[in-house]
Amino acid sequence: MIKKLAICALLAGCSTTVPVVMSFPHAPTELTSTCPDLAKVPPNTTKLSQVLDVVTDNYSQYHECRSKVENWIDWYNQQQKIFTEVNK
Amino acid sequence: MMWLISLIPVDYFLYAAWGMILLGLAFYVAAKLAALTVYYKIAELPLEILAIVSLGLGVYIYGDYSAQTVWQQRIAELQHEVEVAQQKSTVVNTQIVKQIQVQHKVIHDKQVVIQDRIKEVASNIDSECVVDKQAVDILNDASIYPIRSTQGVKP
Repeated sequence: MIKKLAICALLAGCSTTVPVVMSFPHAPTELTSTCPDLAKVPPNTTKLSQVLDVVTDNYSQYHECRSKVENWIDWYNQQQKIFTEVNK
Repeated sequence: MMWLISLIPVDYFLYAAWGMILLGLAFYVAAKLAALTVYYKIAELPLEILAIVSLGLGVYIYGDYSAQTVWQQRIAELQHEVEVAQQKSTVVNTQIVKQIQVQHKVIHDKQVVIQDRIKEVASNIDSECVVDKQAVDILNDASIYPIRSTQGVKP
């Protein structure tokens, strides 16, 4: 009987902690897509309005990419804050 | 070894601990009683040894049970914290997606306004200025993403 209890006690002494894992958060797909290439002016155009049109399109493209980068930073900061709260 | 322990209900460790402690006390009392008698005095030492071993094991198992209980509570707390964090994370993702959609709509709306303005003045500016092909080539060259074009690295 004592032998069995001793074995039981020895087994209990070997116990370790169960790890609790927090999975890495997935970023929204709106953030993970790459920025498209800039639009090009038609090579044979002589019209300034057409050039202006393409340039403003590219500005718009830049603004969208900037918004994406800013939101990436915002996403990272907020997720890091959540993660830090769990691990403190 | 761990899977073997996990099969044993945690409360059984508590019963075993108290059982061993009570058994140890019983052995100790028996040893002291045996010491008072003439015939059983010889049993005093073995009973005391048994009492010490039983008490020692009982305290050890009780200590392990307490540690296990504390760890189980800590694990439950952590799991709860992780669940809350994952919910917060999902809320953040939803907010960010909405933010992006609103911002892109604002950018798109502004672009539409700008394009309308270009259309309004197109005939004027086209009549006053002729764009040289070299200017177009320079502009198009500038629009090429230099990292990918020189190093072959996809952004």
